[in-house]
Amino acid sequence: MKVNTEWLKDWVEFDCDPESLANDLTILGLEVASITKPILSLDKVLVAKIIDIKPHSNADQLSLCIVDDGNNLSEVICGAKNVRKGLKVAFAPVNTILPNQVKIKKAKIRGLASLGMICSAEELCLEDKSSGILELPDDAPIGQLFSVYLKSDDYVIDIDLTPNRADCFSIYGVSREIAAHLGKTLLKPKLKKANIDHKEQLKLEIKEPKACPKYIGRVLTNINNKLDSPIWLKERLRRNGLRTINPIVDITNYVMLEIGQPLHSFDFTKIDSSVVVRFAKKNEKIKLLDSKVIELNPDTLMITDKSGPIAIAGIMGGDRTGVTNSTDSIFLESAFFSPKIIAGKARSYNLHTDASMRFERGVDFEIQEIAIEMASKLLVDITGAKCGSLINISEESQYPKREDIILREDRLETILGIKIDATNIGKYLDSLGFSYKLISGGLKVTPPSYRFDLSIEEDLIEEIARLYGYDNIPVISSEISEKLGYAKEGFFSKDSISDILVSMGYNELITYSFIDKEIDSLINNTKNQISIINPISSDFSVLRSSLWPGLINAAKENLSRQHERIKFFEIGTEFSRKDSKILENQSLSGIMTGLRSPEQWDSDNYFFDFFDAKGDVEALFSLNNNLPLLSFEKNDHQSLWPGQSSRVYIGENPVGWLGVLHPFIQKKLSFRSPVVLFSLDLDVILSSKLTKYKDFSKQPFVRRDISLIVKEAISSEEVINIIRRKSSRVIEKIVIFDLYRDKNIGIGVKSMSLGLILQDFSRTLTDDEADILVQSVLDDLIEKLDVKIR
Amino acid sequence: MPNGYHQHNGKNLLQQAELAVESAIDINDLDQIRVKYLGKKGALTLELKNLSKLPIEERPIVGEQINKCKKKLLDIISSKKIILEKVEIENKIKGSEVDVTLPGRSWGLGTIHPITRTLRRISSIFEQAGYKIETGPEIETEYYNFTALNIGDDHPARNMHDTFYIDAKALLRTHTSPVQIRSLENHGAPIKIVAPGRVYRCDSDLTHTPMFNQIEVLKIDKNINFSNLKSFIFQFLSSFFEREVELRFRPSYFPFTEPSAEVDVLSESGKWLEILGCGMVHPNVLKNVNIDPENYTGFALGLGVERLAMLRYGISDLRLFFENNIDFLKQF
Repeated sequence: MKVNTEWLKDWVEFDCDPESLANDLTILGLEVASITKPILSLDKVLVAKIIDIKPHSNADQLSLCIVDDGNNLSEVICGAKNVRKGLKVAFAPVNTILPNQVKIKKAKIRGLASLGMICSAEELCLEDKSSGILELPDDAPIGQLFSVYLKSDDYVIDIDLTPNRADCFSIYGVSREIAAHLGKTLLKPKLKKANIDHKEQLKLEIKEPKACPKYIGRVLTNINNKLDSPIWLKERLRRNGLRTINPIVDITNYVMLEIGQPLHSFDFTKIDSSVVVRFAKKNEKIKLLDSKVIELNPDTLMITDKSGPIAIAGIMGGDRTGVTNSTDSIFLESAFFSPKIIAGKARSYNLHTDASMRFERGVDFEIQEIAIEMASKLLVDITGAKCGSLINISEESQYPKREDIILREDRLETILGIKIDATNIGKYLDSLGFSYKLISGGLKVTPPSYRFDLSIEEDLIEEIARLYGYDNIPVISSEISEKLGYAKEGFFSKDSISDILVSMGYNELITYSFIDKEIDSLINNTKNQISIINPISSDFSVLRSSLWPGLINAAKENLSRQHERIKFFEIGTEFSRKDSKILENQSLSGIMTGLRSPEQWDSDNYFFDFFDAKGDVEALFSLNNNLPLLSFEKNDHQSLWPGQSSRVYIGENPVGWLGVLHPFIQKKLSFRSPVVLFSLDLDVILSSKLTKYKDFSKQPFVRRDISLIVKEAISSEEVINIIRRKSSRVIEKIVIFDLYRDKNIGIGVKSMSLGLILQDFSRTLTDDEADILVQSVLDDLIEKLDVKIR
Repeated sequence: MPNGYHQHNGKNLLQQAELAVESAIDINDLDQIRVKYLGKKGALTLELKNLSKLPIEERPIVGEQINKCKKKLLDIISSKKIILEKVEIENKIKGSEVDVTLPGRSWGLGTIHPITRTLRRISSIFEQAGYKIETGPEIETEYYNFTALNIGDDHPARNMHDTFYIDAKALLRTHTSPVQIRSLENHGAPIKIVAPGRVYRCDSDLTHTPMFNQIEVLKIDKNINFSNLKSFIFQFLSSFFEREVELRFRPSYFPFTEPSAEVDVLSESGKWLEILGCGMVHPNVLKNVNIDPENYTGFALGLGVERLAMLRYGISDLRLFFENNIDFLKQF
């Protein structure tokens, strides 16, 4: 919301510079976003009068004007259509620099000298586009600097209002804050009743007094709405960010800006007999002032006449009764609509108006009469309007409640940590215009009609704190003891897991939790998708059931930026549906694609494959030796390469997946090399117990190597399990040190070489013992797996 | 036979061997010479073996002579060996020079995301002060996200323009504040918690992303007041920025705190930067979790992690955090 300092000074006297005023407002809770100067330098432009006018001897379109600027009479050539004798104008003498940086020089126009320029509002940067010269009222003093006349020593302060401070949605409201803060007197708006000139009336019925507790109207006739609003009014609107339209609209806007009461004027001649305030009927439609037609919901309060809706109460008027330049009589509305009725409505129709903003937060319910009289007076003065008497329907019992609030001195101290006695609290309340009574230990406060944000003691405490100054409240630590928490061990932190992945060369990513529906269905069973009702775009329409799509997408993006080696991980939530419930699961997922190692001068380089990811996953779990055994089971996954896809188990529990992206998807997403993925249940990786020391063998170990020809279908795990079963007491470790396939050894078989590391706990194994053991292992392998010994 | 003893070949062999040793070019050569003369079947060894063919009285004398030759040869060989070994190492060195400017072998390290890095720092600061880390679900109910936090039914935040809905009951949390309610329900007062996490709002432009990270801090105890809040925030921000920060507290509005404040920090370039929102926990929030606001008071604050990370690392475009470009990530 914008306020300008020149206007504020109508209500409260202050003479601080705009920066310090802005700072004061900010620390009061009215955050200033910007301070701007609404008027650029007007230099030597003067108020002047055209005392004579002659046609230009060489040009039909031009006139030769004699301009009196108080000191000199100058001959000036002017081409504007509205130039005329006796007009007061803004005159730029020779050598004036206009706000648009144009310097006025002596000029010869079609053979005649022109000593200066009669300015348009556009040339003075007061308007975007002007059709003629700027006309000043007759009372503008000749010879006065135009900058003085326009009160150009002005600043526009733009305030970001918090939603609770409806009371500051006007020049007057902000003035009240300034007065309270600076300890100055605030002028009060006075009720000045207009003279009643005619008996024109309108039948008015309020069907919903709860939604509309107060409705004041008046018929005004004899309006000349073809005029331009006077420059002082236009300027105040402009500086506060409103466009000027015509006097009726400008005046109602002006009153709204000044005291915060939105007004609406209907073209009286277009209202079909009487006005009724009621809720919208089913399927009812209205064509709005902006020509948009909307269908109304039955919870929307309407202003209607016999033919139907003429306005959405408190939000926007209808087109049918809209005011135009030729309107000469109006029905002027000044109402109080309940904030609850207006709240959210404008938004639901995608409308956002100055009126709706004010009504939905709460307008002072005691200013409607003042507002309509202010507007009437301006209409009389500016447009020559004639007033009818006020039509006032009010249901006082429906006004917003203002319950007394007890404010205790000691509660204030508990909350703020400062002691202020009741008398001094009272002084702060006085400055804000609150009424109260001193009671034992505190005060009984009645919130004013313009505040909709005060209902409990703490609300008042905040008011006191605001005026006392948050910055003046001391800084006192509440930490008095040195109690230390338990330094927990026996669990892994997410941080340590991340750090390990980083040292394995992974970049950590944070990707969006919502993803494209299509991409999600490549990974997930579409039936179970969790959609967002109101996604920000279709790329973000479902909650991810897997972190893979985000990782795949980031990999693709980076490959397209010519990064050849991708190793990413993310820790985040995966969403899934189980029956009617939505589950959230913390996942650790990774992706790798491209070159296995950074390009180097002496190493062979391959593309990442299954075993690169598997090695990393094994390393991660090996940290945590208190977990049940990690195993990988061949298993198909809809998005993984059949045969290069496995389920990951800890003991009996499936905890994730590891595999190569399905070649079909790889192709679809245009990856040039295989994409290896894994996803693990983070909570399982993190769960652990405190490590307990176990004794270890100090005997030397014996190694025996064996080479086998094994059928393809037999997994290395099966081979190893048999060896282990046979020799579990002394087998320390089994390594697979060679694996190859060759037609020399046969089709459908592979050669596998294993090293058996044997070690007894209490004594050195002899060579004979080792040989006997190995022989029995080999016998077992032959018998059970039909292997051949090489 | 000049001395009447049996003739032996020791001296000749020694002479031959000496010549051979002298011309040996490497250790291997030398070793072959050693084997040829001194090995099991070496010439000098055989001479010694042949002693048995001599008359018994001659054996010690001839034997001694051959042994002398043998010993002399051994000496010659070992001194030659030292020389050859030295030559060999010198040769090895000559051929083995590396280009020390070639890059080392490495698979490279990865990086921690700057948001995670910032979250970690912030969490560790709060943990130092004894705050416990709590988390909550990202899909929330209206009750936890709004109602329990004193956000009224007609508050604009409840609108679909601001909040992502999954269905009539479920929504994506718009802030981490619901964790306050869940923690208070679980643990009651007094409490000191910090709750980091992802939050969601329907907003996407230069300065807003539909997902971002927040940290919520809550402390409730007897006699906690606004000056304690000010002290806490001063301590925290000084710790985070590694300097004694200058702060400005100004009144603001949040439905779940009263009084509420917005905190600005004075930047090194002399500008006030909005950094976090905070306030004294609203009595209605305490009542909603069955805590008597007359007995307990507390403060809460919420901060945007992206904003702190941007200030800290001089990042000007918020969207960079979620584009996950390696060129960006590798800087952290």
